[in-house]
Amino acid sequence: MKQGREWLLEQLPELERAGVLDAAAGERLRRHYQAQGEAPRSGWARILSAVLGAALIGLGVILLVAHNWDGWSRGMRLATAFTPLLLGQLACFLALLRAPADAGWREAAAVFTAAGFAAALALVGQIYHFPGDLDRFLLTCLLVSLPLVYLLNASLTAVLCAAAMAAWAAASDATPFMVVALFATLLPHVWQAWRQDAQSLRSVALASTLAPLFFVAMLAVLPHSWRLGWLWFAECAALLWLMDGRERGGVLRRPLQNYGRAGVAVAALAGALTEFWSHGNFWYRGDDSPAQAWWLLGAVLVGVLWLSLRALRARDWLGAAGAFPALMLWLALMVDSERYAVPLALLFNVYVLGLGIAIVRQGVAARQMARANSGLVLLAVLILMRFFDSDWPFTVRGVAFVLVGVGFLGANLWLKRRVQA
Amino acid sequence: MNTRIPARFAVAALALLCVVQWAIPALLIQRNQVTLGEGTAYRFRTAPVDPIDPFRGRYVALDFAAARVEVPATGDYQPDARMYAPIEVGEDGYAYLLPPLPQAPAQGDYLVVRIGWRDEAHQLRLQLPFDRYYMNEDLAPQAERLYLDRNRMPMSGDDDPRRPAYVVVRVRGGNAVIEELYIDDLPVRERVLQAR
Repeated sequence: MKQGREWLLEQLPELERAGVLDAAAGERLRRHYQAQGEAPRSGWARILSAVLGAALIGLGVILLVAHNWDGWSRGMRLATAFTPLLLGQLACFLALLRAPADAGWREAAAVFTAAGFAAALALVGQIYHFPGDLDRFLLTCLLVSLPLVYLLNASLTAVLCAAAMAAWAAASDATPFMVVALFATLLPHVWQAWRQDAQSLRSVALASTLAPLFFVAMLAVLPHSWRLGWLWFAECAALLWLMDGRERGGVLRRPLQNYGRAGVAVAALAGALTEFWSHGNFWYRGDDSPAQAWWLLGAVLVGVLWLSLRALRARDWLGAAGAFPALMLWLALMVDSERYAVPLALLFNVYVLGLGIAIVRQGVAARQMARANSGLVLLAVLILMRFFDSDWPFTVRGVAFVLVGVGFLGANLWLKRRVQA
Repeated sequence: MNTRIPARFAVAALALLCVVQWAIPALLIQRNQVTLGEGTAYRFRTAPVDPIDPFRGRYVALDFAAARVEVPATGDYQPDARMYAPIEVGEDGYAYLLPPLPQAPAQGDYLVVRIGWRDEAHQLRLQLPFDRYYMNEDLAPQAERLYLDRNRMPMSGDDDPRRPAYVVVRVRGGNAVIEELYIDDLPVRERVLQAR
């Protein structure tokens, strides 16, 4: 984006000389793009430094509390620990009343207040020797910090709350529905950020962090996580890929799609191993998996299939194929997968091969080197996995690795020429 | 500012949030201060080790003899259930717990416990509402070393040097707060500083 703007500014004199633009229009364009180019850069630098400063000071306060100044009186320790909370709250009021448009001020005040509350609560627990109840501590901190996300439109606090939710899910006896309900409280904030500007750094950062945190939180509460975990993984990957199917913006501006594509590739590569289907513990089917987990997994599968059908109607064959691993894992649940381990692994090998070739083709067609390369990487990983899988001697495998490497470089050069042609 | 929330409402909501942020720790302080001031003091035997909490710092982890309770083999104790264990004081002056009850006893002090697991058919492990004593990060490892040193097994022919540690816990209406951890009958901080 930045390069495009600079290129356009460089081209303006030439366009004016050629008579494509008159001088007034050229000047208006120059003023417009110069202002756009400079304001956000300095803005983000300031927001980032303010937020980092507040976060570091807040974390520092928590560490200072953790030292345990037991030589001080109880009143003095409490006063010291509550001071950051008070300062943070005052900063929040100032941000609302005096600088409501200043994102750096709002973000910093919110994150500092959240850290200040955590420090104050930790100190009370320390003074009265509260038992090891990390889950309650985290839940209290995040519930009290959550309103700051909306009152101050504070995205970093939203990310911190999501991290606390994931840690809480791991530390408690939470159910899948409870995790979904907690994360749902952040959705309006994410939705608002995306609606304002889906390409902004804030939207991308929110999507990049919240999606993996939600995935981890769910994984932590799913019983028999080996089995349900892979189902959850394949479904999440397909969902992220299909729900963010738009092609606008650079590759780095599409975090959900990137996560989704990478996830589908990992699930497919795992399924390409015979051991994946034949390992006894992996496909253990106990009766103690709570109905909640199955309802949730079933609901996500329905969503994935619906999005897949939508992609088919739009002739997005590649996107539609992203649902394949999730669908096959579900179908394999209906049968004794150990008996069909070889055909299932073979099917997944064919799928990965097809997926890799299709991604390379799409990358070449769209003249996107990064995408074409990702298809090549997928194919290379598949080939190398087969070598690890076999009982061939080390010398043969060594030669094979070298050949694959040479082939990879050669293909890369060929692709570069095709993409640039 | 968030364009969806009117400024006046946002300020009022923030004021309310600030009150909640102060009220939660304040209520905890008030409840535990009252227990420390007015609660009955009990001594619980303990065996400490020295772990760390990422938020609250170093502490001496406490394992209590009272956390192992003799119960009838047929008793119905579901793991992780919240129950009420009445407190009794033995002839040695240390507190011990009676088999937990589903309801708080009408008379006498009790602890709110969580059911752990059965060590044997007649012995039940309980999770007590206090399991750690927070200390200064410099003193906590020394407290552990001191305890291990003072509690080594006796050489044959020696007098038994073991002088068990204990905590004094204040209990009021089911709320229990540790007042002090003692080693060699001295408050742990005092004992550690004395040993330096």
